[in-house]
Amino acid sequence: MIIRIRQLLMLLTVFLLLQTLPAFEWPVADVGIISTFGQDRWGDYLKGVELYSPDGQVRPVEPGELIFSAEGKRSGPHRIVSGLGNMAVLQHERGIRSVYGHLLEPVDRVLRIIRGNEIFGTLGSSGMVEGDFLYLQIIDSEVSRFVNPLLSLPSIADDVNPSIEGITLYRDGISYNLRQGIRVKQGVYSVNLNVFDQSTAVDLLRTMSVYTIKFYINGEEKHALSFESLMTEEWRSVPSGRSDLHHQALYTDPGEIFIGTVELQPGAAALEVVAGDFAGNVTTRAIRLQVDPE
Amino acid sequence: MATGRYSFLRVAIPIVLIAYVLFSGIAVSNGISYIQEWSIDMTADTVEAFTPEPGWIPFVLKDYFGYIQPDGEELYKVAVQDDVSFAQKTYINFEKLGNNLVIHDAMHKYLYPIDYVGYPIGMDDLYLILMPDMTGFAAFATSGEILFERSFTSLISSIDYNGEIISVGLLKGENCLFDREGRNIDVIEITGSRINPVYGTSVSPDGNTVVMVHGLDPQFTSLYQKQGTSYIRLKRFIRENEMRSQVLIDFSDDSQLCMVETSEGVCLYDMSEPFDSRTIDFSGELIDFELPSRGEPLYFLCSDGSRSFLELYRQDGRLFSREEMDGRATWLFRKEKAVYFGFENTLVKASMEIPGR
Repeated sequence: MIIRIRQLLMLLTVFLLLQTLPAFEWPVADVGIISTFGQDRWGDYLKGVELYSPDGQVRPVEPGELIFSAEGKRSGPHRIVSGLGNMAVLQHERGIRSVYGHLLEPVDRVLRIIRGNEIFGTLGSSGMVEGDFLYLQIIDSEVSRFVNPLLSLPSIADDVNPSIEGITLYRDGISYNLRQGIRVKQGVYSVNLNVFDQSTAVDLLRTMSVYTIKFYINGEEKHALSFESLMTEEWRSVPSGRSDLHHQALYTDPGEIFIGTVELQPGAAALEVVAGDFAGNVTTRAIRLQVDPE
Repeated sequence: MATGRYSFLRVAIPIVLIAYVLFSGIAVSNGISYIQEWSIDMTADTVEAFTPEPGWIPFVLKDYFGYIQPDGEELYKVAVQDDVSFAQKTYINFEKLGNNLVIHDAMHKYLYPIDYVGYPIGMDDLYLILMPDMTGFAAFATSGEILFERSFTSLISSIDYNGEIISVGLLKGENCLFDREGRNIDVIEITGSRINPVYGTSVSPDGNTVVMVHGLDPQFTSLYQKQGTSYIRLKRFIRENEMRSQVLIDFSDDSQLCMVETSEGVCLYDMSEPFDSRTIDFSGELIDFELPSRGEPLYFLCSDGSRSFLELYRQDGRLFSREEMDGRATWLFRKEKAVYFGFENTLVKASMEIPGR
């Protein structure tokens, strides 16, 4: 019952966010999501989403003005080479900018205003990518944040729940992979989770970041993480609301993320992890453990 | 009567002579001529050395890069992976995915692996490696150790380093300046246009001036001068034709001259009052350039795709020499009176011939 209320609250939160952000259109048809906002990529958070489409034609998420473009091949030693390959940045209303990367060809520099349904590129493999993808990034320049593009794009079918493969406690170099009834000593532990979502592109089995994670002890929320937006703190990218979680702090080990520390007191303890994806699918894993005095 | 009929010649002849000397090019005005010393097709068999030596010239061609003896007799040649970047006596030959980066010190046969993903930009004694999504960079010493990383909530449009200061132009309308240890020196906030992205940035070799191109409607070239620890705007010029991609900006070695790319060529600014400027239009896209100190000729290598041009200009903007080649130009390097340049897989050395020296 409690979990259902949480699910409803999360859906309500997503609904309210969708009301405050502009409603965009998918930039490609028959879209599949390959990689999602906030996941571990290139030694940092992925600040956009990677999309697949059999069609390949790229349109703007809404009408916009081309304010910047770059190319995937260096045309001289003084030029910046874009890891996003052939790319374009569009300026929209309300200080919103959209970025399109890995395009097949450089964008026509004569372009200025790109209308809503105008094809201005084809997805490709330019830049640091293998395979034909479109990288889409949304920047809210008024609040200086990268915004999860899925917040303002139409929903797509996704009935696969996130996976919670493991919950691990770390202390003094010793790890405890949690299972029901495990006994641990009292103390302060780092909590690492093996949690991920599956790509919606059915042909491509790839793991992606979940959208939200919450961690409870005895019913009390101890840590939460949501990939709604990313900001910069002291020249490092952090999820909004978790300025302690720069990339290296969150993605500590391959396949694991660090969610925070917990202090376990002697007695019985109930740990619960709730992971949600953007479509509202939620997976919960609860573990009871016994904490012994030091 | 006859004396009266031809008396105008007394005035006209000196005027014609003066005009001829002034406007007929440096070849006449100062006797300098431009001579090709050698040309090497790198696809053909070449005499290669296993180890380059100090004093050899770095070069980059379409499929090869390396170092060559100034006389062209011996060279160290490597096939380009996806691209190559040079810094002080080292290079990174990198792949499309920007991973497995290794700094090569070919002269000492040292290798320094870098644990970072991105495309490197070799500058002086640093490699600046842009994050793949262009929202940050890391600075590495040429010996491979990471110095610092910086991320932004914006895309980086341009970056420069003068040996002490790193200048980062951001699309969100800021220009951030860092020292070599990564300390933030100043953040210049851009205003004055309908939209205020920074498209180009450069910091002068003496560190006293930062020049930026920024904004749309209108687009400006702005000169900022160091005052205390921050940079204050000194001058602002409206640009006639806006560019919406990276704009190349660079200073001469003595910081006295600044070159700003335009959609047709470049604009040259004199960095002393009253900041005179002159435009140089050339055929095709600017590939590489050399801006020596005041009084020296300016070198521009440009390409229109199928043909390339090496053009030398006087600092007053007048064309001194123009060499045309078939194929796409790749790179330009000047050392003393010699200039080395590449197009396709051909490397050329030419020199400035000054009679009497």
